[in-house]
Amino acid sequence: MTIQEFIQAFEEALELPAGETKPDTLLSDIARYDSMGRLSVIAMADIKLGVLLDADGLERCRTIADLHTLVQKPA
Amino acid sequence: MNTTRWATIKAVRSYLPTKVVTNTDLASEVGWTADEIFAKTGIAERHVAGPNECVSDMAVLAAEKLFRDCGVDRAEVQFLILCTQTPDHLLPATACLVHQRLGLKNQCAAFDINQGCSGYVYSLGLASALIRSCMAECGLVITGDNYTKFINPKDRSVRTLFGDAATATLVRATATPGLDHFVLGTDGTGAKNLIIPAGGTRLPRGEQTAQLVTDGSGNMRCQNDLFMDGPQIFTFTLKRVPELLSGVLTQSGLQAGDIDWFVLHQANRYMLEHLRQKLRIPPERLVWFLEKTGNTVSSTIPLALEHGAAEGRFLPGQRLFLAGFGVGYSWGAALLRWPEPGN
Repeated sequence: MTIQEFIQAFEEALELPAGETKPDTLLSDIARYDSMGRLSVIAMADIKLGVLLDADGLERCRTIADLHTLVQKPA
Repeated sequence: MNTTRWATIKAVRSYLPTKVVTNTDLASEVGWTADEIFAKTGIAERHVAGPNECVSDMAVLAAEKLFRDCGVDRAEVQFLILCTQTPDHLLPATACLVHQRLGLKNQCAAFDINQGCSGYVYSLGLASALIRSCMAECGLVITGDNYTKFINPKDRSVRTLFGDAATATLVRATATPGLDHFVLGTDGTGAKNLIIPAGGTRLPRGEQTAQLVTDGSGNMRCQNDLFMDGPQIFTFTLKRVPELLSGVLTQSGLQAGDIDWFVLHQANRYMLEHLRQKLRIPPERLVWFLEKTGNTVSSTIPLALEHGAAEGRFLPGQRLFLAGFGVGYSWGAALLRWPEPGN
């Protein structure tokens, strides 16, 4: 999954306006990326990529690009 | 294992505390609108035990309803398994208090088990073992918790989810297949992710444990309160619940299509719907009972059974897959053949 495809899936999962999220967007700046938002990302990776994300790994991510890297290399 | 004798569920009844907390009641406190709470959780309201209402009180009311509605002779009851994580006292076992208040005979075993969302399946497993090993013919499995007494009002991550309840299930010996193919599991590395840290001997309650802390999402709690790491629990569930289903299917030699009803622990709508998709469960075969009660821990599965039975959804001989999973981490599943009516 390319970074652009990932951003699109991320925006859909969190119901964010399309096209506003960039690879260097800080996750802490996204209000919807709360506990429920994290669940949405875990669910998206599970269904779309067949990847079971490690919740500790999720906590270490600072940016969208970090999240993209994590889904490529799950624990 | 004895293959001419099984244990089966004959009836389930419940008690829900009279106080109801709606999403509108919670909206101003948790910073979400009532609609947002429902959209996130699938829960519209939850019942909350009164300040002086303990698990034994709720358990007795559920069991008395079972005796009354189902014509159970309490002299027949040979064991009482009470599953709770919020007992009346550190000791004695709440089961002993309930045994006395129900007027059960002295020749009746009574003990607590401390499990949460897996607890109903664990309790049925123990009940089944007692019956199949011919130690008993008939017993009660009671679930009850009041997690709400341990939830900080400013912690929306758990405040919106949990409700209080108690259930009572009559379990009897039967000559036809009933409860079978139990799969149980544990992973204590997850203990820290769903916990009330203080109040036991490891960390007694005190001034220090009452210090409020605000987390990154704005939730406030202290060490006397329930803490749940939602993403960690979700990941655990996605890993273990598929294993539960495959374990039961392997043990029974059945395929998923042979299961008539899937009764999973009702954690919240988001998790349940995701599990449904992941396990490829047809929507009409997944039993839901969450909207009016919330997550009632070990009581969610028996509540779903009670209401499914009341609606006449389950037919004698149908196969139900029961699965509980959560705090511990602990998980368990079993198959239940729905019994013929009558005691």
